[in-house]
Amino acid sequence: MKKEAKLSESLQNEVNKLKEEINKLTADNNQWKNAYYKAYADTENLRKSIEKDHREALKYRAEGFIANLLPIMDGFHLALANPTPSEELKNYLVGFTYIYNNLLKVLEDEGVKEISPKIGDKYDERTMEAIETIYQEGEPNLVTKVNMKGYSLKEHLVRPAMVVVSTNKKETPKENGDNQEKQA
Amino acid sequence: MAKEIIIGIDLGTTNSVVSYLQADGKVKVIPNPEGTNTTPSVVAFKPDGEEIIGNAAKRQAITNSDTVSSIKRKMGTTDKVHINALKKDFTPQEISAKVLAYMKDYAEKSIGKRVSKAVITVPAYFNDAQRQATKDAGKIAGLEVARIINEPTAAALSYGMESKKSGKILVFDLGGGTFDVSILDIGDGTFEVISTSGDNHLGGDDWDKVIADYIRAQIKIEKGVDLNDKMAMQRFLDAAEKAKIELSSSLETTISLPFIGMGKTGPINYEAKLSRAKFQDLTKHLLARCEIPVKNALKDAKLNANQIDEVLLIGGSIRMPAVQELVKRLLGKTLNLSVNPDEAVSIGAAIQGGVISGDVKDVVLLDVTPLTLGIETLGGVLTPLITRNTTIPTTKSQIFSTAADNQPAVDIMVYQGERPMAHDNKLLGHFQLTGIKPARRGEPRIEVTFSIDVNGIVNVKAKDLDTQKEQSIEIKNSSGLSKEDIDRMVREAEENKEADEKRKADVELKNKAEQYLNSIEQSLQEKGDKITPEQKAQTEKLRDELKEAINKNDMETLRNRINELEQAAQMMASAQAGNGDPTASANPTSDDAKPGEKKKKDDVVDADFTDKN
Repeated sequence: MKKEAKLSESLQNEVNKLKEEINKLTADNNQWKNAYYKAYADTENLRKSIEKDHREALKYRAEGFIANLLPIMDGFHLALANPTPSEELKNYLVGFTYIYNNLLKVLEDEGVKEISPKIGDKYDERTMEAIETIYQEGEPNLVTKVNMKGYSLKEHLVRPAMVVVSTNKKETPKENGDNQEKQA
Repeated sequence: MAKEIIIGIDLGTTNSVVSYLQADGKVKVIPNPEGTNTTPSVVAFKPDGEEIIGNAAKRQAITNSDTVSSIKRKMGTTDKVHINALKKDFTPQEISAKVLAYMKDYAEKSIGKRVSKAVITVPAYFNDAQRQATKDAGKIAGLEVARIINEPTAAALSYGMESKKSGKILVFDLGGGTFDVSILDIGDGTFEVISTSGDNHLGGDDWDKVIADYIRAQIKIEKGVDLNDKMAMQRFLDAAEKAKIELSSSLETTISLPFIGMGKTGPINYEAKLSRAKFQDLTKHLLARCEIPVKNALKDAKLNANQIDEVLLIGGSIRMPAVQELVKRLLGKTLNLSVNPDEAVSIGAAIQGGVISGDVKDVVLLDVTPLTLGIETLGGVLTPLITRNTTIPTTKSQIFSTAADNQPAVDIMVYQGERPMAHDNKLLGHFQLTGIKPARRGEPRIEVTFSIDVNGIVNVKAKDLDTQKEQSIEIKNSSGLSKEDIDRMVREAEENKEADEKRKADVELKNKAEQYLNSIEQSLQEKGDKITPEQKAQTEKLRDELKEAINKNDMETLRNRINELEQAAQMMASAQAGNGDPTASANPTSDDAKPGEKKKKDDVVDADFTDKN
């Protein structure tokens, strides 16, 4: 009887130890499983994020090139804005206007949109940069002059339109920092 | 579960940048909705209460007196910004918070996850009030600021300097509107700023202005017209910046300004070449202003140029070759330019964020235990409780027992170090847990708990799980060791590894032999009359052999006898359970056992006869 009791006690110990072992192995297994899935999920998420970046990069691949073309567009605007009494010169300008229109068409096909506010339009900081304010009776914050047109490519603003904006305050805007100093 | 992302934010005077550490360990700078990586630190309020932040705010600044820029210069002061439209005053931290909240928002959209923590950088010269204000700004923006770090430190992190063992680094940061020089002392992943200098109003914009003025003057000379209208001035500045950028990679550029104005004879067109030499000549007074802060920083750090190990250039304006040549001339070093200078600070902050969230493992941070902590156990072995490089705060417990029958007390000897034998390490402190109820060796359960709090204070507690009696000790100077001491201790452990391991193995073998010896004695006493005289004689012989080998330190014999014993025990265990008593505690009393030498609970089990090894 005593021997049997001892044997069963010894077996019980063994069972307990094995149970402990199983618990440990289960915990280990869970940990590895977690680590494995995490690595897999990380890779998957990374792939998605790289794909997204790649799509964006493709979508805006021409952005830098377009930005470099803008001074040329500005040059056309400035050149064509000059009135001339000379018929001969006028004919030249008509030709240049056609060249400009062709260039604009190429840009539009690429997804470029011209931002061309009109005098009296409400100033919109999302697409326009105010480079000067001018005192004017009546409603403030209206476009009074467009110095340069702006351009957007799909959802990106490549360059805001450079405009002069009306104000109904005579004093100059207060300066909270030095950013405005630099623009002045 | 994926780790929490901690974004890194370079909250700049003129521009800010946000980035984060991706799962692949690379930092990604997050572009704002307009597609640019830098966001102007500008906030504007419209009369209807609408807030505009970033590029749009900058664009409308001139039309709106409620536009706030360069608020960083006011951080930590009690100055307030009055917003007319809302008839309300804002603190600098509230304004900064709007920039941070805007960046947090677009970062979340880009990452596709909620972000609640950030590492934010500040200039090295920021005082406590300025740092606190920055932290508060983060809080207002809904970001828990995991850490505020210095901009030069972040730059050094972006260059992987944390892996450098030690050295002095000079960080030269020439941005759009501010210039900072910092000298860092780096060692084992820690960064200390030893000096800072700079010019709060010097940056790339100044170079543009000089060239714009030059263009205007040239037109006046060539065309006889002084163009000073806003539109022409804007075009001069744009052309100047373009020329500056081009001259960084080529020796000559063309400034082309068609239809820049109207003169008496029609449109004025200006086109001229500008060489790098001319550009540098025109701006040499600005370059000279870069020289003084470098010299001052060296002087304040009491260092010569040749004591600087590494020079890091950050800030967009360091792309100018003249600036790079100046730094080379002043410090006589090859320059490190591998990280985008506009983004380096934010990238470093993101790396720090990764370190905090646990994504970067190879960076040794300050908040880890430099050396292993443990207690002395049977035979003078160090049993580690908290191993070195464990991030703190941390708590670890283990159950030990007594080494002798009816042992009334245990001594807890707390050691620090990497050597396997306790006495080769540094004794930090010791105490005694008394009042253990009379019991067989190995039966009392004494839980020893080590905890290290965030300040590095170690608390060691021993608790008798039977009586609930406990005793503890607090050790405050555990981190009082110098870096050299720590390095030496780790090195010595390496050097003595083989010999130490042999000593430890010998001690363990001896411990084991003593455990068996004890069990044999016990069995002979309790059941000596139940076995045959031959069996008894054989067992006694074995006992005597073991005793002799232990006394003579004869490890070879011990090893052989123990092997035989274990085989025999296995056979006996499988044949019958009568010879060895599995419940009998088998802890030995070693000859040199001081009161209170302990055994791990695991070892107690190991000592059972019925147990297989």
